[in-house]
Amino acid sequence: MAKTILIVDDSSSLRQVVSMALKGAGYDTIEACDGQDALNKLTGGKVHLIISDVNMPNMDGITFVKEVKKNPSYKFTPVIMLTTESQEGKKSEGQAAGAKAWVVKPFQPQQMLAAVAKLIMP
Amino acid sequence: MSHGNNVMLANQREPVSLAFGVLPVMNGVVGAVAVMVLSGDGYQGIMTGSALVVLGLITGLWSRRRYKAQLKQHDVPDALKPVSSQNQQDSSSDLKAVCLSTLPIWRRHIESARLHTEEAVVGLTNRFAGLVERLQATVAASRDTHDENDDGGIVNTIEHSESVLEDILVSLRSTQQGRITMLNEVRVLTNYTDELKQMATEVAAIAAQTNLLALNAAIEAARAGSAGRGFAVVADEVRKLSSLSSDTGRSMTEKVNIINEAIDRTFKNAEQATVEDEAIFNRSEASLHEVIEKFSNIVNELTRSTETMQKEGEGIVHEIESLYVDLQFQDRTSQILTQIESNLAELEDTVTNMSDVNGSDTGQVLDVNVWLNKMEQSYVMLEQRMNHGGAEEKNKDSSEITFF
Repeated sequence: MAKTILIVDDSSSLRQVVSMALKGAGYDTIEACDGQDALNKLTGGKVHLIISDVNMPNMDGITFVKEVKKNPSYKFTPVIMLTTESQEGKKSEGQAAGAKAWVVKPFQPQQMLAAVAKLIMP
Repeated sequence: MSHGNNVMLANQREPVSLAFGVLPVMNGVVGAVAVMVLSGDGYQGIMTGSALVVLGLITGLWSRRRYKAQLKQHDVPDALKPVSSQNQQDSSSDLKAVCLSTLPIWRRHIESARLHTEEAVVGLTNRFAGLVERLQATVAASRDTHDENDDGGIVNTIEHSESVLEDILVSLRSTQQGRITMLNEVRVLTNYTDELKQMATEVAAIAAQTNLLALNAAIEAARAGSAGRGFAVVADEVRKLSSLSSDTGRSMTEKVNIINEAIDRTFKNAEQATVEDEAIFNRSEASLHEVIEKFSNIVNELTRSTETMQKEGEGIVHEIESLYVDLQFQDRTSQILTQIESNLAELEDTVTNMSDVNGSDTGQVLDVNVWLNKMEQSYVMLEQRMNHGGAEEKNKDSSEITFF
């Protein structure tokens, strides 16, 4: 059964690009336009991994990850931050919030898939 | 044209304008005096002179207006005209007004451009996604069609057909072999009938011998007289039996001949049929192999075409996937433009706060360094920070991944 990945980004084109790359590798995807939308989507089916942007309206990525980690069902779900932010300070915030990896846009699909494969339990 | 030249031009215009207006009037007056002097004190001379003065006056006014209108067409904008020190405050107010009216327009332009780009890139991405999906489906379908492990594959179907046709040939060959075996059996039967014929001849010979024996016995019985009468009856019966045996032998010979002829005909027919069957079989086998070979060639060609198509399809999918990186630059562009929009909105607020409701200066000062620092804090990308500092940033080809 295909693993499901939640993609959180306010840019619909970027969500589409990430989704295309993941679907091509056989994953199922769910999309959310910001942190709040993503939290709502998490109440649905099982999500095996989350890829989230940092700078988003309504709820930013760091706050979203903190909220996810409070949810017992998704406490151990790996999160990849996918962002244009490359400052060490922001990365540290992401790490402290509970993210497992920090990918700076633009990403190479193969590298992203390798990171996803590394974090998702087979 | 420099600012100073504009000032000089403006200052030189007024005397020229006056000259354009006064010269026709003076011409009219001089003309009127000349007419009056030449015509004496007559009523007509006075009237003509007065008319010339009025005409000169009208012409002068018209010339001056026309000159001013022409000047207006080539005039410099008011905004560039020099302002006096007393107008400095007005100028500041004008600048504020320009900012307040222009900044929202710029923001709307940027937002519009950003949204158009976003919409176009989303459209492009969707189309690429659709292309990738269709290509993958096509490649998968062609792979399924040729997959040798798939029961419904073309290669498998043709191989199966070849096997079935080969089975038919084997059956035909088996039938032909059966017929040959049967003919051989019939040939063996012919040998038996020859033996039967010989046996019938022998029976006839025995019957003849027996008949002769019966005849001798009858002679001997006659010679014995009444004592041999009983023996004569027996000799007669033996003669009858030998006659019957002779008939039976003859009949057997006839039947064997009939059987032999029938077997001979059957054998000849079977032989003829076997020759024809052999020819049919050979033609069938040749046709079958020809058809199978043609099918195999078609299959090989199809397989090669399919492999080429699959490779090409996979190459195109790979090529489109490499566009994923380029498509992400829209997100970066969008973030840069969003930050500029935000800055413009903030600048608009700041300029608004510099004046009170009555339009008077509130004394609020905009510190450039503070403003630039604030801008820098709002950046989210290294590219923005480098642009801010005036440095060029090279586009990164590979993403940066950090695992925690």
